[in-house]
Amino acid sequence: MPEPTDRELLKDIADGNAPALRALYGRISDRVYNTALSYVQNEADAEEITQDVFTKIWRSAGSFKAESQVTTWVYRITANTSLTAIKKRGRRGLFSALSVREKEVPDFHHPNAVLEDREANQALFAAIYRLPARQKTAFVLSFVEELPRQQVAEVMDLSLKAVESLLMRAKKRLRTGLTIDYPHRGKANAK
Amino acid sequence: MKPDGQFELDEAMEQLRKLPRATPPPGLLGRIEARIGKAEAKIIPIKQWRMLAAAACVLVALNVTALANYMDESSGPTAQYDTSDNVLISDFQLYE
Repeated sequence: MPEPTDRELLKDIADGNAPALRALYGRISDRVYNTALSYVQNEADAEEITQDVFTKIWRSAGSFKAESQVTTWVYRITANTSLTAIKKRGRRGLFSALSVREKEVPDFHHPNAVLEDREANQALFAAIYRLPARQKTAFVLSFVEELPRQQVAEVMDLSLKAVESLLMRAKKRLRTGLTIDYPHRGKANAK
Repeated sequence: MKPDGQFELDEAMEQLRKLPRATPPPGLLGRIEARIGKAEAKIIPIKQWRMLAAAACVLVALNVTALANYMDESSGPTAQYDTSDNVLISDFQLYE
């Protein structure tokens, strides 16, 4: 029997079929978790967001419009849930008003980074964390999740041109951030 | 010549490309299912709400009817006594 497509699984989920949710989780949970982790840069928060995303999928599977891919829809939910979590985290901080200029960046090491790249990865993720919301979404989906630009545009509900522009601005900001944080700056300048 | 930070960005992006996706912890699906189950238990379906509303309406209607009947009954006998009193008095006067 052929494997059901993502759309078929989503239709079954809309009918309250729990094994279909398990199957979809098996297919896309690492994408959801990895995307959330790239945003919030904290494993406990990424787990919480993954739970939220799958709960939303369970509840709103019936409202999925077949015009887009299931993964596009799921990435949109993940990005929105992650951005909301970051906003909430900002509000939770007692001195959040004081730290508007300099966002409090988590001390994050990606769990799969190899030892020799850990510092460089940490610097890049710190710079990603400081990006404005839309630039962050465009960058994470394009370069962490490696989605095609057209799909990024669909997730963000923007034109291809707007996404390219966001990516250009994001890279410019990252360059500035990395010149400050990058651990091998001396080595880089010497080349 | 590359702009400031370009080398660092290129190198970091290259490392990012090599970075495998992080996977969620093994027990997460169980926690999601537990959360969904809990939420489902709390949610009262709209059909049930409608039935509850209909039952409440019937209850209110019955109470209103009962109250109206009670009011009628409590005001009714007084009027009867008045009339009967008049009759009695007029009857009584005949023998005076």
